[in-house]
Amino acid sequence: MSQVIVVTSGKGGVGKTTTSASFATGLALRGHKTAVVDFDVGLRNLDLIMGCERRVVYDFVNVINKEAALKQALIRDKNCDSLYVLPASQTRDKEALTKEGVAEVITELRNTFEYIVCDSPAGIERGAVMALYFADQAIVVTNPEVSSVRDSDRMLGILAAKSKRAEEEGDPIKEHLLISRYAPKRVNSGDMMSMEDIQELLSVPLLGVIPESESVLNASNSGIPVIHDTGSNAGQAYHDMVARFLGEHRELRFMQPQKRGLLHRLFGS
Amino acid sequence: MAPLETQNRNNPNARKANRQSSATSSVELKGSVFTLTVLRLRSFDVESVGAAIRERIAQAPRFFKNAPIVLDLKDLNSINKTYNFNQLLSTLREKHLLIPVGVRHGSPTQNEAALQAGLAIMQSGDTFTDELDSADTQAPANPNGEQAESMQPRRQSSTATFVDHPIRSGQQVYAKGGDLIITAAVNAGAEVLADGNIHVYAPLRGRALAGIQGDENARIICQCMEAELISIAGNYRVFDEVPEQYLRKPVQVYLQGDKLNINPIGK
Repeated sequence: MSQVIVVTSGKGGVGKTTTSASFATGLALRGHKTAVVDFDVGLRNLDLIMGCERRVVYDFVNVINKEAALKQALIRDKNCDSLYVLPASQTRDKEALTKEGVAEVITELRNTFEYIVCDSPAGIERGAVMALYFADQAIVVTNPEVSSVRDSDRMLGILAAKSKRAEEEGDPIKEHLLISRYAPKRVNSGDMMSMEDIQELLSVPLLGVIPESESVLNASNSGIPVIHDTGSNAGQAYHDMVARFLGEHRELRFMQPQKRGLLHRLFGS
Repeated sequence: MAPLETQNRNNPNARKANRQSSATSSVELKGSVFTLTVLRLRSFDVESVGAAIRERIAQAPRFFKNAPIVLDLKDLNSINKTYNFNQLLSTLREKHLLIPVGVRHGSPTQNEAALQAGLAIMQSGDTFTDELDSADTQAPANPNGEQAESMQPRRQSSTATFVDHPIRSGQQVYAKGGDLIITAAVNAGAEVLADGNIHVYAPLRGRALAGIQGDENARIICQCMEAELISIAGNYRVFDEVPEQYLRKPVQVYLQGDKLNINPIGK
């Protein structure tokens, strides 16, 4: 039974696309046939983060408008055989996403893929609602920062009210919390909200904590999702997160400020 | 924030209609909430009613002078004969300086007669009004033979609305006709409202508005006070910073006059 998972947040810039890319890659690396879909019509980023921006021929809106078949629009990831990307349109706007159109595409994706990861745009308007509407599970990405937590709280309310499952009074969407850009040093000094603070405010099961890491910028520059960078803390944390999602137990890592030797400070992050 | 005047405060169409009418006409229709004294009649006999009223009014003459009142006919429903209100009304108006404005809990025939006499039929179901007539309840004696303090229930209990999941930012819960009981957090940016009391057995970080139909006896009770705004019967207070003495402590909020009192619960 295929699963549709929306990666959302409300707040912009917290790490949804970074997470969608790494999460989908992680699932595919473990042998699960996965599709990652960009719902940010007009401001597409997923293709850049996935490194396939120069291979986009047809996009999500083309498929909805029956201008292309789904097979023609899906781009196979060059780093991972089981992973496919459905990019968003760059020239149209969110009005092009209709509920019926999206429903058809999701249904078709369910026929082929085990996991469908929906990368949501920021905000709570049409694009974000379309991304969450057909979801079975949701990963709410939150930065340890007051406005992000407030927006995530709002988004959790919307997930509980505006999804298809909510409208049809079916089983609710399974919610997961992912904290990203966590800086243990700043948490210890009291500048930054702690994991416990965030959990208390949002009351949603924690899927993982991704530490602030320079490797994330490097990853988006090179078009290779950070989970491939096994040397980086963020990459490893994403591996942990995928494992937990699939039911394995993993201790939370990178929660304490790291003592870094000279070599590490010079070469690694 | 304007005092909550109508149940339609969140209905933009209601407000729009009012604005349109006031722009062009010489009247404006608005819903409003008033506290009225209820005179519960146990007899239609003008003499005995008059005597009883005289006795009660003497206790607080200024309060009752020209007071608008509602006649409660519940105890007289069994009396089938049609009753002429006019004599009673003129007595009340002239002799006791009370101003009857309506009746409630009347039988259909009594209501008809009331309308004839120019009285309104008041919506029953809310018992937030003070009763002019004292209830002759015997205070229960405890085993030691002492009279326990008479504990009159302040009002009929209505069904409470119970919520056991967090109220998230941007969500609103309204407990109509009764209390609201919440056993999870009310997050910042969330709003909880009730006609009656609000109990939050968890942190209250959002807005809480109790007694929104005008019940000044309503209270807000929470386990952990971090509210952005509290209000009882339209009297509100915002908190830029919750004062140290009750920040994150269990408190109850109630109205004294038109002042909001915040008292810590327990030690």
